[in-house]
Amino acid sequence: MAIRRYKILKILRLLFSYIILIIMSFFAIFPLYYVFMTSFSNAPNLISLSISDLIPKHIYFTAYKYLISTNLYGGSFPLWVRNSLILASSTAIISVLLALITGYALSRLDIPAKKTLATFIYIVTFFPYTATAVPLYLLFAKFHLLNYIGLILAYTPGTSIFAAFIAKLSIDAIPSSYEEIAMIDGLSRFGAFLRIVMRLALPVVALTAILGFTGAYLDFALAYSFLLPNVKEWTATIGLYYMAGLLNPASAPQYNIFAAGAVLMGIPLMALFIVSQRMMTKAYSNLAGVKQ
Amino acid sequence: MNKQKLYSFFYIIPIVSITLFLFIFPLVYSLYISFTNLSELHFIHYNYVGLVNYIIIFKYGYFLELLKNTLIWTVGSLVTMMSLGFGLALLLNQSDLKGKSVFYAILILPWAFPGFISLLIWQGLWVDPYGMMNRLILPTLHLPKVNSLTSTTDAWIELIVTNDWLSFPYFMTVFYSALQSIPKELYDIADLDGAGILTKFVKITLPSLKRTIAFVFITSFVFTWNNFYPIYILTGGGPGISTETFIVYAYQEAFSYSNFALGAAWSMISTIFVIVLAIIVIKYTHILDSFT
Amino acid sequence: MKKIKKENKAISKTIIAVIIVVIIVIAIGGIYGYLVLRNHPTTTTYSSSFTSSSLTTTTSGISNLNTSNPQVLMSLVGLSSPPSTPVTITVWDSYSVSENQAFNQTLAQFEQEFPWIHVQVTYGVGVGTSQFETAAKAGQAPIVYRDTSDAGGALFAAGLVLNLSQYLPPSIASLYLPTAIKDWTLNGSLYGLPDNINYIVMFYNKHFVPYPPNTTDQLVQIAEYVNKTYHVWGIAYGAGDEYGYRFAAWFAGFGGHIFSTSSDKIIPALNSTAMINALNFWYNLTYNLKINYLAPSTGPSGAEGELFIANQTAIIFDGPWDLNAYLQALGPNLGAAPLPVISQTGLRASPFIGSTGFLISSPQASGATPLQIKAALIFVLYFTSYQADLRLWEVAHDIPANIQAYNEALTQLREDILQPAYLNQIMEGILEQAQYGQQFPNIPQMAYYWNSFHQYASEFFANKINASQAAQGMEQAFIQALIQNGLLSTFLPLPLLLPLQYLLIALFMLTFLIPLELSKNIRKWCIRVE
Repeated sequence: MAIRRYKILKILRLLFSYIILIIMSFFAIFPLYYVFMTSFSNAPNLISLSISDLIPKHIYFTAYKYLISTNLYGGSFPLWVRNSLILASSTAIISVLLALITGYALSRLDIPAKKTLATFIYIVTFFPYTATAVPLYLLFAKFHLLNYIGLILAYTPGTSIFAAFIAKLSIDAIPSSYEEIAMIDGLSRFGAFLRIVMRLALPVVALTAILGFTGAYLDFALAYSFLLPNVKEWTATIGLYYMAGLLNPASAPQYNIFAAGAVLMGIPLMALFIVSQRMMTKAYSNLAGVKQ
Repeated sequence: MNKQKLYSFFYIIPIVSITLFLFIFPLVYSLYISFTNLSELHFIHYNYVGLVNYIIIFKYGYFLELLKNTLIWTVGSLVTMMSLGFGLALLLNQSDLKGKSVFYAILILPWAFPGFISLLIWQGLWVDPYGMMNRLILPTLHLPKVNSLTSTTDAWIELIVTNDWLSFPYFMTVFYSALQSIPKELYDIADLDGAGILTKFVKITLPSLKRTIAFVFITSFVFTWNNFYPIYILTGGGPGISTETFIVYAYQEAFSYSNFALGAAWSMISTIFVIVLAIIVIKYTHILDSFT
Repeated sequence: MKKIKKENKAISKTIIAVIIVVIIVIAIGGIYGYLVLRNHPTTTTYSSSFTSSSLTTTTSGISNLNTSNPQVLMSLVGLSSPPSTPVTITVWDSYSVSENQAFNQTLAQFEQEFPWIHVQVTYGVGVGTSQFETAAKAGQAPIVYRDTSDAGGALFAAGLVLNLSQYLPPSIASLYLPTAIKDWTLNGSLYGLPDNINYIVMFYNKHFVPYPPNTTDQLVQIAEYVNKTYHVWGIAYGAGDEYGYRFAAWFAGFGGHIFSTSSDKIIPALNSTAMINALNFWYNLTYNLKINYLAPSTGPSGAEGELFIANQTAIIFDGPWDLNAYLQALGPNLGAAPLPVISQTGLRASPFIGSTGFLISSPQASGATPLQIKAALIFVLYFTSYQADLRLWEVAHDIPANIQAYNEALTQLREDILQPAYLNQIMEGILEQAQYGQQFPNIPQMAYYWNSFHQYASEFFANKINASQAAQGMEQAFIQALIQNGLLSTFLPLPLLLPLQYLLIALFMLTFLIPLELSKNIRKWCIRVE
């Protein structure tokens, strides 16, 4: 009897869970369905006026064709996507390095005024992004860094500081004996760091890389102010805004092109997220603690 | 020993120097600007005017209204987002649930997809009475229509629901990752002691996640406080200024009115508030202690 | 015990460090300011005697200058022959994709006729953005920039743009439409050259609307008729979501003026019965007669345009820059006409006649040499000349600001040259509106109109306040914005404090951190007691 009641409860619980998950999945997906439908339409609209618009009668590839084939004085959408990928990957790599080095230092090394420094750095990032945009432009203009290097430098601290703290926790969980053994075997401290710590703290590496990549990949404001004069160096976001007519309010924005571009840009991003799913779901496991 | 300390200092120099350039310089620059009258009229030759901008803010500005709006936006978004993410994480954490990675992959899409297009699509979805939310979804759920042009409450609902959609996957990931690290033995022991589901949740799950919740709360609090795009795109500040937050107002001062000094002053006030609130929470929950 | 002390020390140390830094900053700032103010007693105040007077009317008729001719252009800027070394100028191009087709053709010709000028074009620039200002601050502004006349006016007032009256003879003004030149003149100085004029018109769907309404009474009648017979919206006009660019036409139609001068000062005049009547008129159409849809977004991809394209509304108010989308969707059913006469007052609803054109940055902003300035002058004259403007008209249907091109456009329409045939009538309707517009104010005060209007108009249409409260609120907000930005002197002197008082204020602001310290100590004490 008890077992049967247990079974019924279990089935109810699972059913309830599946229903909620399916509803939430629908909630998560339906705006994206819209994006897809808009990208396959030939009229630039965001509001479908009748329910029958939900299922399109025709699928037009005009938006995609326009994006892929148009050439703008040396720049084109595929070129810009390539630029974006390069920029975002570099930002991801540098963010990872920075976050892990700092996390390692916070965890293992004895640095003077470590606590104050760490708290101070954390609090300084509370300053809003919109207020830093103009001073950054002026600063980088002075140093002639209004290019990719400047952009990468501008993007990294955002993710790195936050990721450094997560990395510190993760490295705390790795016993220092591992590195000590390696150092006895002849590796330098930095070598031990690279080989052992990076590998064991992989979830945090994945999370930082993804956050850094996404931030740089999708950013418009800073990239626009830095890179505007060189069409060939534009990122995909700038190029997309331009080709969809969103930069000039005097011309009609074409949201089907905008949606198509977002789909093209979003596919590698979504793939990245899904592939590193397993690692991301482990990145925060050191944050939980059983101590009360 | 000193050489060790010096050597370990090198590990922390990259992050410190980058923070110095990219956060402290804009902060000091904005602080300096907020004491001048740099605006369109005094662009090339501007003067130091002391606390005039701050007096303007408190005398003529909508300080209390904006503070109220920012608090509604931040707390309202956070509470709903975290509950949603937490609930989903709990559901996904059940060991006998099948198809976890499929659900997870679908549910993470709102976070993975470029936000600039998602916001525009949501803007279209909320149009009354043509957008799909008011046309199909809300009536199906027997909920009243939402029109952000005519009602402040509706505008807040629109903003918070859209913000939830954008960010719940992040919280879901964080909490899922933290839940996964709670040892199963704890639950088994509690089962042996005859504990019910609620007791297990309150006595085991919640305490273990306290640090996660607190850390994520603070970081996301600051992020939402400074989050500018959703409000700017969806309601532009709402009917009147009833959904305008500090950061949106500061942006308008700086970029619509070209009154950079006043915009900087608003950003400073906003930052001071968020820092004070964050410090209160940090001290109360002692979470940064494990980081330092 | 020791651990708790150590943990709390981190935060308190940080707080103390921050407090000390803040006090030092404020003290230094206060002392510096005190010293500076002692040595330079007056701050530069902005004189608000801005009356946008037109240039002298000595020229009657079109000037005989041919600004497409290289010799003429070079002599205008004072060059007898091309210089030996080539010169490069940077241009920020804010044209749309279709306009760029015309621009590029003109560019190709320009490069042929002026081989010693290299043009570096940046595409994808938006109008009215602050990107130009940011770049100017860093000395990176382009030499030639294209923007709207009001944005340009603000830049001119900031000293970022050249005063062309100092470089070009006054007869230049006679090459362009008087309204366009007025848009580009501030305090008697010309600061840019126009390449088009733009304003809103009334687009209507001939399938629903039998004849374009001439008065507002007819407008209401037709809208009701459309509503009843075809069950579509009569009008789609989102008056509650806009920033006053289109509403200004109705405001003027009811007899209102945005600014008025009182004792030599320019003050806003939004709080008038004209505003109340205009607001109530549209409120009536939206909520009582229910013939107007309060759309949240304008333009072909916004709610208004989509409804229009989908034959769900009969009338919208938009500009010819969006013409192509409507043309494609409605074809021969598309009609355009000027905004109607307000039946109550007998005045026409007069939209702003704005203008977009080319400006030249001042050397401080762009770092240009005198030779580059001369090349820039040649550039802007060439690109606003008859051929360039005519190209813009023919390719992108921009309304030309160059008189010759404008007349040529009218001739083309009269002879039904445009293809397809129904386009001629549409363009005639559009051009007719040009006679019934109001000048777009380009004084710096104008920048503060938009948000003040939007804030209170949106609250009014959200049923939160009534019309007179809205009109009052708009005016108040406008005045406040002007005071805050130094364009209107205030009667309440804002005090500048001495450094000692700064310190006291800083300490006061920081004392709300003291309860934190106290609470921490209390907790420590409690733990000790346990």
